Amino acid sequence: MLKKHYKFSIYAFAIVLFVSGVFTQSCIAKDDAYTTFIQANQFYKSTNYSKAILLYNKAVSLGFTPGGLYYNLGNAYYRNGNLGKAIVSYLKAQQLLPRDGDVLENLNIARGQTVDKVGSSEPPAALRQFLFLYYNFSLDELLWITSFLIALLFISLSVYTFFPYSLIKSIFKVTAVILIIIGSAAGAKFYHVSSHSIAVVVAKQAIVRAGPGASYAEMFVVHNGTEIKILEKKDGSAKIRVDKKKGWIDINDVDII
Amino acid sequence: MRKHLKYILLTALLFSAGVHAQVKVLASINKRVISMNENVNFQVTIEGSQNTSTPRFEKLRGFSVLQGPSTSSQMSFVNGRQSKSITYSYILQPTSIGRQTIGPVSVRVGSQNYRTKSIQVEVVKGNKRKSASNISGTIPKDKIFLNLQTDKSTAYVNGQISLALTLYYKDTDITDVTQPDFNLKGFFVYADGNRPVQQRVMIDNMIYQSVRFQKLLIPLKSGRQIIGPFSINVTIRIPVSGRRRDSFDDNFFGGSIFGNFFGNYKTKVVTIKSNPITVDIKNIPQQGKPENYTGAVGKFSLNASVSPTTVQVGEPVTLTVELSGQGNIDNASVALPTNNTNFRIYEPETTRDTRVSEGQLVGKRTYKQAMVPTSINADTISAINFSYFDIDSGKYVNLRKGPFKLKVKPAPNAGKIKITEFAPVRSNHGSIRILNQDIFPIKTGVDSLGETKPVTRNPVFYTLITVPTTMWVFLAIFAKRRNRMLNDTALYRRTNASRLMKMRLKKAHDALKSNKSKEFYSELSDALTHFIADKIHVPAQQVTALTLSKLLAGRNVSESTIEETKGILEYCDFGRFAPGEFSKEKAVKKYKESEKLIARIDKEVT
Repeated sequence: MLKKHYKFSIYAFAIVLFVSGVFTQSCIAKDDAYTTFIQANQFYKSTNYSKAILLYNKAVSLGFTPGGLYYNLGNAYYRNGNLGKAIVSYLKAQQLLPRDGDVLENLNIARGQTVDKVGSSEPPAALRQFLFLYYNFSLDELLWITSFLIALLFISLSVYTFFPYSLIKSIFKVTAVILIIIGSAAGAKFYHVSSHSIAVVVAKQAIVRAGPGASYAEMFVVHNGTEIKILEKKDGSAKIRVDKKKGWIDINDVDII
Repeated sequence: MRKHLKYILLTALLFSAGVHAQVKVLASINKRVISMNENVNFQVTIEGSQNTSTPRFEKLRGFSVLQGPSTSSQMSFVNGRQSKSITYSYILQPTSIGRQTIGPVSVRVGSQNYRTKSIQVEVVKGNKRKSASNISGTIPKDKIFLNLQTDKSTAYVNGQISLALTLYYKDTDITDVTQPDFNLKGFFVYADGNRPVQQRVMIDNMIYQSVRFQKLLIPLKSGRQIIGPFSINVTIRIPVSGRRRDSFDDNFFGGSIFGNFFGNYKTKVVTIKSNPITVDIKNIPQQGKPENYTGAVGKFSLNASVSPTTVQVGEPVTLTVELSGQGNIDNASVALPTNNTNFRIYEPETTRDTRVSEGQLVGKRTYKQAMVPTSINADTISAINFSYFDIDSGKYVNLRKGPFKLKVKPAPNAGKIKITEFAPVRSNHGSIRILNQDIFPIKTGVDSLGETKPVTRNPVFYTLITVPTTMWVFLAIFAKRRNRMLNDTALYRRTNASRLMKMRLKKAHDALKSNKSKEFYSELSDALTHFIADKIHVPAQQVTALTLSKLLAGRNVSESTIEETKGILEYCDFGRFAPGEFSKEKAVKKYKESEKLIARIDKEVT
């Protein structure tokens, strides 16, 4: 038994080492990214939007990706007149800050200025309310809650192994039920985020064709800022659906979220 | 029996009484003005005699006999004078509108013929809504009967006939009524969702309960068609507690079958049959049939509209045609414009809705047709025509809407389909007028940014998941082991054998050091015997030099090991019970041997 405890502490030590290592590493990157972010904000305030965009994107590439950064980036794109990119950034910000009113407001303003008026991709309010876990929480938040619940579940299980009190059993049961609910919401959200099925037209206008490639007939034209759904990707083209119409679009004309 | 007696008595009286007393023959009717869907009760009463023939209608125009004759006779003695009468009742159904004459009716009393006066009845076009509930005053005074009625006696093929099958009952305890089977040849029975209607009705000053089943029939074949008779099964509850039962029960249930039962009630299923009805189904006339006639019979109205009326070439125009009315709309179809050089015409979107309302089949058929002008010459959409056969007037009617004028402008950029036009973001009909619209400013504080790092890059997230999980796995394994030990003594002893053996050997070693010979022998012996006992799960007392080979037999321990163990045990026993000189050297040697031996046993024993 003693031997096992010894082994366990070795593992624990290794984990602690790994964790602290990652921490220090990320702290350095964070500082760097944060400075970039502050600089970008200053450029934004001095109305040098293209420089601000450059620096915000640099911060993103450094792994500094809070929702607020995407929001600022969206603002910079909006001021710079690139509606499509602005909507992309706002949508990314919304994924991270789903309850932020500023993000939603600016997204709606940007959407209102697009050329194509397609049906809103926003879900109905009733559905939003019913699936509030899915819509009102970001993936990160849901994953955090899930991880806490998993921890609570296994701690209560461990305690119950040695102290089989009914109170602990009820804690375990309640935790399990909440975990199933929140876990499914997290799973659905994860699927949605990782499927990358939403895209925004970033070209001034893009031709939608009957098939992948320039040889196919032109069907219709979508304009900067139109949100589309990606159905499949093939040979540098993407099959899309927009407002119940389907077609193929050059993948360079869109930004996938 | 009582009833039979009544008849015998009656017959006797008839023959005994003078036939040629004062004879009066009277015709009467309960209503002078009726609607087409009502019936009248016509009665012929013969006073002064009951020995009469069945009355004969000399003239009956505009009516058909729905039911009858049913007879009832009265007899009374007043101040020694005998008076008797017989009444023949008919239910007559009007067949045409207008002033109609019933009678005169002739009847033969004894050897003489009598005639009644004729009766004038005004038949008016009825309010069809009340067709079925207006059956009144005509039903024989039975306790339970089934009446079949139609709203008309003549109809056209593809027209409609409303059918009402009504069960009347009084003073009867009915617990269940089956749905009648309206399977009719030559008719399409319209399956509406109407449930039977239950109500109380007054018939000849008596209150009846009624259950009315209504169906709508669409005649499919011409000619004289007989509807019915229909029958339904009625479950009746009869009290069986007393001996006394009224004649009704006797009639239905044949007396004493339900004599003395313990229960208070008994149920019985009775089949009740209705009257049949004959209807004349006419073919719609061929004469004057329009070319575009598609078979609609009834009364319809047509509406058509085009919107928008000002378009560009390539933009769709919607032609909406709405046909509604009374009748079988399934047979009605409207001819819509077909493809031509000026329009590209798409398959119309049609909706159809038929239902039974107030006993009539009503329906609505809507066509929505998209038409795209292909040139600026497309300025007219031709008129929409629809013909139907009007039942009320008996003539064909043509409905026409249009033609529709269009203003077509040339398209500025023909060819490309635009998704939608630019529209302002927010409408300004709220209470706040939006003067200007701008985005909210950027976020500068680090707190307002939200999580700076995704959870998937945060070690705390993984720690939260992995550490408690791993902890639980270890704890669970440990708990399981501990439980097994607690429940399985053999395992417990086997697992702890080496630890205990080592303790005993240590004691023996200590005893050897301090020259305590007796203790040494006993500890060494105990170490061996307890070790073997623990390993093979037997009481330690059983393990001796004598029993050893028996205990270890079949446990894969080699002979030499057993013999050597025996040797050590014997050496210990000898030393303990026959103390002589204690040779420390020999003891050390035996001790070392024992250690090796135990290791061998540990390996070999199974």
